[in-house]
Amino acid sequence: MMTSEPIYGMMAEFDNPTDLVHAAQGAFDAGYRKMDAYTPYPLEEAAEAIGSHHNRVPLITLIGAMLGMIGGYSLQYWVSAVNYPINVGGKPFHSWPAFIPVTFECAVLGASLAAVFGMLALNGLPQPYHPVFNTPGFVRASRDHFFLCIESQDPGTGRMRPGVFSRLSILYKCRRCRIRTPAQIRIILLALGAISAIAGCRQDMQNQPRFIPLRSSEFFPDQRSARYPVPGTVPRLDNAAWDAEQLDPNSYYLTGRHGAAFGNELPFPLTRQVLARGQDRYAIYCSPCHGLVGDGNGMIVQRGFKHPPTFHQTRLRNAPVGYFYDIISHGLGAMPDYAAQLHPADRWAVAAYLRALQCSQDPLMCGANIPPDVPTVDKRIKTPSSSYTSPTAMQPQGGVKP
Amino acid sequence: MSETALRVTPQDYAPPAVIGRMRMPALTVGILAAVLALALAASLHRWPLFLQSWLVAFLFWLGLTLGSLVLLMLQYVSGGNWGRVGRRFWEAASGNLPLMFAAWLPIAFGVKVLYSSWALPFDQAVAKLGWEKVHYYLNPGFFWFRGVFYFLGWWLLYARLMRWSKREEAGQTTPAQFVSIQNLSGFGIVFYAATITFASIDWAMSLYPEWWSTVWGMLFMVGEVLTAFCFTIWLLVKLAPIEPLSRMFKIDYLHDFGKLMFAFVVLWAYLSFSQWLIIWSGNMLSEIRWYLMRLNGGWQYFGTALIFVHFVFPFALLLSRSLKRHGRRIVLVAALILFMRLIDLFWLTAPNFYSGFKDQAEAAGLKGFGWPDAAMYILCPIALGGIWLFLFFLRLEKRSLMPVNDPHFVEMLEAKHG
Repeated sequence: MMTSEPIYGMMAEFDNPTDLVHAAQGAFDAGYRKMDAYTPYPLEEAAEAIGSHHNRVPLITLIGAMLGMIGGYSLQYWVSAVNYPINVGGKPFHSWPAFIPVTFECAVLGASLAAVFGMLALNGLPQPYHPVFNTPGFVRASRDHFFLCIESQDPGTGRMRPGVFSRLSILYKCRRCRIRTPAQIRIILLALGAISAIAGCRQDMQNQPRFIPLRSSEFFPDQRSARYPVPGTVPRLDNAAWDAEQLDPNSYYLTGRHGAAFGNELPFPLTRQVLARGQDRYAIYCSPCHGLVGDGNGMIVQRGFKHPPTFHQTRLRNAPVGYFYDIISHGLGAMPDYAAQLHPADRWAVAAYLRALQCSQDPLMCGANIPPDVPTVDKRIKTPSSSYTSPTAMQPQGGVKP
Repeated sequence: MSETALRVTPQDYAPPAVIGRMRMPALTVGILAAVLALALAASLHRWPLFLQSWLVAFLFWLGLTLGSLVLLMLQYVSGGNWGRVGRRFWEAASGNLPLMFAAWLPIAFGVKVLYSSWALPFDQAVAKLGWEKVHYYLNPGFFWFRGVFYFLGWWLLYARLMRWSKREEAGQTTPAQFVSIQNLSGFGIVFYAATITFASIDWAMSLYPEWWSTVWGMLFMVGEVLTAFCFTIWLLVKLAPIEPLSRMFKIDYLHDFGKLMFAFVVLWAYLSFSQWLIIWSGNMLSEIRWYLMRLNGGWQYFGTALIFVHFVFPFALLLSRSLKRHGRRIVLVAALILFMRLIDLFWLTAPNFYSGFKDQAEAAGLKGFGWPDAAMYILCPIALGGIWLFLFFLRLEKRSLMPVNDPHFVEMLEAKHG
């Protein structure tokens, strides 16, 4: 034990804020002034109890305001009446009413600057080292415990008696391992030394033996630093995207249109895997706005974003699959395009899943057999128009493999 | 949930008996002062004097009524515990709008006496003011219409606010519906700002129709809210130490009100000074007359007192944090400002009716301000104030002192953490 080191203060630990406030109040009443409370969250009553409002910042602010006032007024007086007098409307050079607005502003400026810098000067911030961190278990001050430290510099510490801390649960002696000011000076010296050392450094990390992209090189015969891929290199894009790059840009697979009209069939066979993929992509990219059931009540809509139309309305129930594909590719209204996030096969999968979602809310639309004696609760459910092709009837067309 | 276990009912915050005890003295003083004022006016045969001093009384107590109304709306919009503390006070105070309408009637009926500078037949008004468009706005018919319109608008706002408040007190509202009263309050504040601008021009600035100031309406707004703050501080200091408020009152509420009062003292000084600085630097004959009238013939003492007692002195005192948290001290400052509000209104209106104090004026053969005049200007605010306070206490006594069904009321019962 390094008993020769000076004691920084006495630290008490509490497991609830009420005890802390009571102890702090008792210590303040007993005459202690140099103390501080450490709490996991701002505790105004503790600040009140340790008397942290009894400080000199208001006085410094007042002095700053006075200096600003005097400075502002003197400046105007000197300019308008001494150095560069101008006759304004026959008024005296020393027209004090006209000086008041600027004097007021200067007072506010002086007060604000004095408040900020006075506060920093008095509380010693920034403070990279503090002895209280040597207290065992002090880390709980950021979590669930409440600490009160009475510093040994307090004139009242000589009279310190255990009775002050009648409510405390644990009492620690908090050693002062470093004196505050020398620690700061040492850190500043260290920082200055580090800065001066930078000048003498070799910049090995900066100057690495590698090529900057597109910079020329003497090493290769063609004088390019970048190399072509080896013939037969496999791209990182998956097959569907790779296929899409090879296709005619006007194909049904990439546009969702036959000529100008939207098509109502998938360009590849509908399988359980396609629907699962569509459900997966829908949950990731679409459900935040459109909601998991497609009613437009997604999470961010509940937080105030614009409500997108529900998929369970007659217009969208009758809309062809290619229409959904097109909107995913290009966006509509407030909806951005998802071309970058979903490659064409995924867009088709999402469009197919949309149809499945619509069926889930309107079984009749997909040709489900409901016996006539079952009462229909929702009067809005209507028989779909005859021109509609249900997804189960969708025939795979087009020539792209999944 | 703990909320059900700690259920607070409006009965827990039933008003204390002290409110009832203040009621009858207020009425007695008010009626006594009213009788004395009427007797004095009758014995002097000076009904114009009665109307002139009644105008100051009317503007002062209207300020308290409307200041309370706008604070009531402001706290719905801004939130904050300070506002919930004051809500019932402001509801009771703005309920005096019908009384203020009744107090406005003598002014409305006496328009030709009180506003003799513009309430003239068309030819004379044009000849006097030299600008016929003035008459289109400043004529008795339109004056009455506007007055009724203002009061009707304020009353509708008050009625809607009270309907909400009573439903909330009965527990018939949900927190989600709170936004409707906030929207109404937002509109109401704008409506108040617009109407008080015109009302202050109609009732005070038009006493001297040759002069105008664009900051006039704001001066009244700030003055009225400041009056309401001072009055609220007085009520809080009186009621906070006793049940039921003592159970939940925190000194921070007083501190908040002190800070707001401080801000409005500064704002009042800022606007008053701006008005004066612009006219001083312009130095136009048409504009400076209004100030010359108030800076000569004895009125300058009131003007100087306004600078030092309405601004410099309270400003210096209210800088102190400990004073704002000390009930007995801050209530003295509030009372001083309240008194200076009255002096301010007196200084803004009364010099139009005189040319100076009695001895100076009589030497010039003009009407001067003498002791009977002073007595009238003291009696009228007391008379109206006594009746105002009587009705205020009557209304305050009927409901709980705290809006316990407010969605945020539970926060007020909690210890103060950050």
